[in-house]
Amino acid sequence: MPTDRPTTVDALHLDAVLTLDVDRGVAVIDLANVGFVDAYALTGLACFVASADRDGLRARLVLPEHPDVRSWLSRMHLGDVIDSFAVDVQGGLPRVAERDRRDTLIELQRFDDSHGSHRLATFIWERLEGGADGEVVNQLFEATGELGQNVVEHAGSPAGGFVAAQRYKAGAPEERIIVAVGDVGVGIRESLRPRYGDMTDGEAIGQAIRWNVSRVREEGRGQGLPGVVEGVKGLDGALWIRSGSAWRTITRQRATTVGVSRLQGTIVGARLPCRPGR
Amino acid sequence: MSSRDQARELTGGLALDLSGTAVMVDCTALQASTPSFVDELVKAVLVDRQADRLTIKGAPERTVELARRAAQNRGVSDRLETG
Repeated sequence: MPTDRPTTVDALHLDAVLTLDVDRGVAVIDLANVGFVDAYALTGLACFVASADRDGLRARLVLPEHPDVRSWLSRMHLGDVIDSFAVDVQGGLPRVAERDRRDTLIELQRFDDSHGSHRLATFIWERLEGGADGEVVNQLFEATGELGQNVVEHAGSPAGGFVAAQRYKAGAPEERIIVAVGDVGVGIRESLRPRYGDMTDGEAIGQAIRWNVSRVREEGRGQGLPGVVEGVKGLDGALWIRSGSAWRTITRQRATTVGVSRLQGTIVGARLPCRPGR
Repeated sequence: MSSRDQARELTGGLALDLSGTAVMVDCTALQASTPSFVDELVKAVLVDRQADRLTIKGAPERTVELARRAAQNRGVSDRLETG
């Protein structure tokens, strides 16, 4: 068993558990040594599986040895993705009692049209209302709605999109929510290319977060993603945008772009404090 | 309300030419909306159908802000009323 794998799988460490072996036709997710997976990474895992399926690769999942993490994956409905895409799993996810954690978990869900993305945005509103400051819940509603709309309208993702969220450290001063929306579509670069020409994935993300930049040639478009960036920064949160082989992190203080392993499509996630300024 | 499709469905029954007409949307039961929904609403009524006026009544403060921004982006601020 490799020992250099991270124990935490989040936006930063997602690549470390993914292996794509095109020659053997296998896409492997190795969570054996993992002790924690966040909502962003879970969405990324679903996208990786859907992407493998799209490319005709056999997806294989090595489950975490830690029983709590296996239970969490089961509780977050990763099993639905496993079943949908016929993932080869060594062992199986445990059956867990779905105790009422409605105010803490938004289980991994798939959507494929604007009604689906609207249902998810509403779902997030209903689940989180009262569990965080109103402006935070409103921002999460807007972000989920906008990002879901982007998947449906621009991504060209045959598998649709995935969303998951979780509230962490409930009751503590550092209480926060992570929400992520992902797809296995053409990616931001390809989406913008017909209108804005060739560019790198990093440059494409930079373009997409500017106001009035849109694949659609129409005055007034290009407000969605920049609005999400503005809203998340305004609440002192963090935004992660991964598309193709680039990954951009945006906070109020700074923005950085780094190269990552190429993944089909786009994953956008946000981390927001539940009670900013307190 | 979160999607452009919802705004299209909401305005789908309106006449294609609303010039000389004022349209009021009662938002008193609205809890939240996305920029895309509000932008599509402004577009459908004031740009595509050329209504004389769009009044957004009783909307949450954030929705009003989004409507003003959408109207400004589309150059129709003079025909938007909020209250």
